[in-house]
Amino acid sequence: MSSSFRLSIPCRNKMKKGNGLGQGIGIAFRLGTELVVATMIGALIGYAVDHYLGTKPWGILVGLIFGGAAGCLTVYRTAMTLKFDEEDNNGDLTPKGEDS
Amino acid sequence: MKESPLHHFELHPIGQLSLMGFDISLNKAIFVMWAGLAVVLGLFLLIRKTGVRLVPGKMQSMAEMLLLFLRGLVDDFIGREERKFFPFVAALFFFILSCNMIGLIPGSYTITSQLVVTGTFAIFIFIMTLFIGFGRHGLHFFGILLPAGIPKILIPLMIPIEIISMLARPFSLAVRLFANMTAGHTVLAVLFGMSLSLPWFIGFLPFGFTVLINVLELMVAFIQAYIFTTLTCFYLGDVIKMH
Repeated sequence: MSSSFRLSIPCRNKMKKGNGLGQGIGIAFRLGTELVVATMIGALIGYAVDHYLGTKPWGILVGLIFGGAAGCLTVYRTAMTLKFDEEDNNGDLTPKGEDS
Repeated sequence: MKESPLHHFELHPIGQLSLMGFDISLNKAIFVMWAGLAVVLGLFLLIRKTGVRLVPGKMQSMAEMLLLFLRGLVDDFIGREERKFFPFVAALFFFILSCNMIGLIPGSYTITSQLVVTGTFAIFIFIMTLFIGFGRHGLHFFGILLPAGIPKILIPLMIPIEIISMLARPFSLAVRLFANMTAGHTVLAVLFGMSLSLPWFIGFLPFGFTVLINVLELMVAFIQAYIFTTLTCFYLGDVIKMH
């Protein structure tokens, strides 16, 4: 099994390079939901706190803010790993020495 | 004749079956899920049966390409020494891909357009990451809630944010796959409904669009399976490496 695998290793690089559009779309899909879902989870936790502790408007407000923050943080992290990936590979997309 | 574009997501049991008081009636979705499993198993058995050659044929090189790609994902995100996760990741990818693809055949059913299915995948993965995390790191695993090198003042602020972003992971996994599949199929249903209800000299336009959307859906089916597996690898790698 592994011997036949080794033969076509160039395939992987080809797929990685040719998959630029697919990867871009994939990241777009990822980031969009990440923001929404994190905000929703924050609001949900806030709502649950409100429901059980009777702190009517405050739980959901704080939850929304924290949720939004968590969403932004996740998106930021994903974007950062992305940037590093590009620099690792070839640096074609981001001109070098622009911001570092 | 008016039909809701969401009508084809409804499920009706075929016959009645029960086991010890539980309703285990079969429906279309279960058959399609079995079909998805059968397709994956059948294709790989076929590749094995035709023989794994040194110079790969069409099927073999396709499978090799996908498997190498997945192994690259595992190597990149989880780590080269953690290849034991590769079978799990590959099985997940091929199952989701085949289910998405089968859903595009007219008259069949997309099981990934049910939140129950995607939610089960996501919650299983989430619990698995928790088990792996606690198994590997013990109580140090709580350190994942504290990003490295943050000022002490920010700790009370960061912990709730990290908890939320941790809890959001399975939800975003499940919702993303479910929403994309449901949205695509709803668009297809609406366009088909339009082309049926309009006179033919306008009706061919939405019908033409359904062909285009179908191509787009093929791409989405692949991309969603890819994203699901990438994120699974990413989450597994995150709990194993701890940042």
